[in-house]
Amino acid sequence: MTMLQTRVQPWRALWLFPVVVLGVLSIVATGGGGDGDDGAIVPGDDLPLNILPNYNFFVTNLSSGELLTASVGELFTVSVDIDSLFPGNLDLNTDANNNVTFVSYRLRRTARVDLTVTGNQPSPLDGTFAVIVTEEIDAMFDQEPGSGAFEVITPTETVVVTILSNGIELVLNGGAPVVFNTLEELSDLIDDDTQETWLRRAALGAGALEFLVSQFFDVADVLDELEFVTLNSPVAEPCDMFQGTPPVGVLGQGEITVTWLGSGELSDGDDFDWSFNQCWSEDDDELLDGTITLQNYTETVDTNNNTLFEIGFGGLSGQPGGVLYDFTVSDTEENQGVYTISPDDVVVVSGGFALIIQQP
Amino acid sequence: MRFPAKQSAPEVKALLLAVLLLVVGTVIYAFDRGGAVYFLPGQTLWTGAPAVFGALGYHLPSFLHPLAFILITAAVLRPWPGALPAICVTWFVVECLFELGQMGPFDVRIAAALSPWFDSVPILRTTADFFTHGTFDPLDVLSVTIGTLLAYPIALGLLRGESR
Repeated sequence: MTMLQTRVQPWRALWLFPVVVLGVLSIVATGGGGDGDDGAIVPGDDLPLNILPNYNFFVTNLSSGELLTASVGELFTVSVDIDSLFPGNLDLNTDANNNVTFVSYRLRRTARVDLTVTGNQPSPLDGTFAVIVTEEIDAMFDQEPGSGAFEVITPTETVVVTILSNGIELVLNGGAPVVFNTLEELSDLIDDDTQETWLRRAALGAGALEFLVSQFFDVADVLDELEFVTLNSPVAEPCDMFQGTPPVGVLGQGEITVTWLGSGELSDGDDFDWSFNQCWSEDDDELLDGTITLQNYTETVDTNNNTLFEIGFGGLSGQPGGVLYDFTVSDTEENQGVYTISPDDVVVVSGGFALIIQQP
Repeated sequence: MRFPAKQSAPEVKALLLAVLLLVVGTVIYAFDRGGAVYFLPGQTLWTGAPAVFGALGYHLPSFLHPLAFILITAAVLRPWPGALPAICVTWFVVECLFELGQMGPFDVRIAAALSPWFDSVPILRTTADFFTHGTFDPLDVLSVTIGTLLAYPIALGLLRGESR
């Protein structure tokens, strides 16, 4: 008769540790689609890198703890505290030379930022509130979102902001909806102190999401040029020229310079210096001045199919580096060929974020 | 002089079966899933041809992994017969937790909470990617469940009898 042996051999329990470790590691090891080597770029590969049409992206706080902060004129300062990872997804097109064009993006439900507003003068907007995406926000690149919803939450208020096909609907604590035609129209309320505070706060929440996304895409847009920069560093490019009299003390035509701070071949950990010398954008009516430092470049290629698995600055889990701002954005206004900048339209950006774009 | 015929201990049989199951799992990743795992760096045998294991290839690893590790753990702990249900439950919970960890919003929270130290250990470098890159699939949980349920009678059958 067979029977289960009951004699105890306690030493065998020692084997549990390596078994459990092996079991857990073998689960985790199936997660990365990268080269599984050291996360480095594969050098000397003559094949063009395969870039997928769709990637996830994640934005997170700098590991230094310094938050992305925008000081808006002489009005107030807003700091953006990203909750864990701010997740999204983007679609892109790639041409024969691997130049990337963004097509559309989505902000994933549960994405959250906490905004802290500090007025130069005491203001009803002062304080901290959360902005949480409650329905996936869909948008074509460089256009206003077409659908989705987010909530702007304080201890006493919840404003539900729903993006409709024909406008933006705001509901405070389940009350009557207030509708705006566009996000831009809503954003105009931010510095309008005749408006109700909850509306201004919701406008600021929408503006913060838009700002974070636009900064992410500005950096993402430069990623496909970095290889070129390493071969020709520094790379300088003229900006748009003022077709008239520029604002006082501003160059008629500024320039952007990207400088690679590494050597040899582009590799993980490299830094770039992205300088804007009074760079005016005619399309956006914006004057950019200052420096964006891109620290701790990371790129992982799936060597099995030479596909870009992951790219960005910094990391998902508190690795050092990221996108660091020391930067000013000023709105310009033109009147009869003379450009001016209102002090309230100058946004000083500091701090930053880490970003990773990853194969879905 | 006659030596007694050599017989494999029940533990060895269980361990051999577990290794075989893990090899099958590895083959699935090598042939059908592009070799995109840490333990197969650049070792894909995938040729673009139809998957060897078909649609099953997506879920077989989730079935094989708990089955193999329940067998290994039970073999290691033999002869503690009362431990088998606990072994099965423990591995089931571990596998399910990792699967649930790939579901939003847990994926980004776990990835963000990991220490950057993980990045300095080669095999742990993919940990954050496991959560952000992986996709929660209820069919994987079902596969884990079936693997666990099947592991119990197999382990019981293989590990029954006197220990050598």
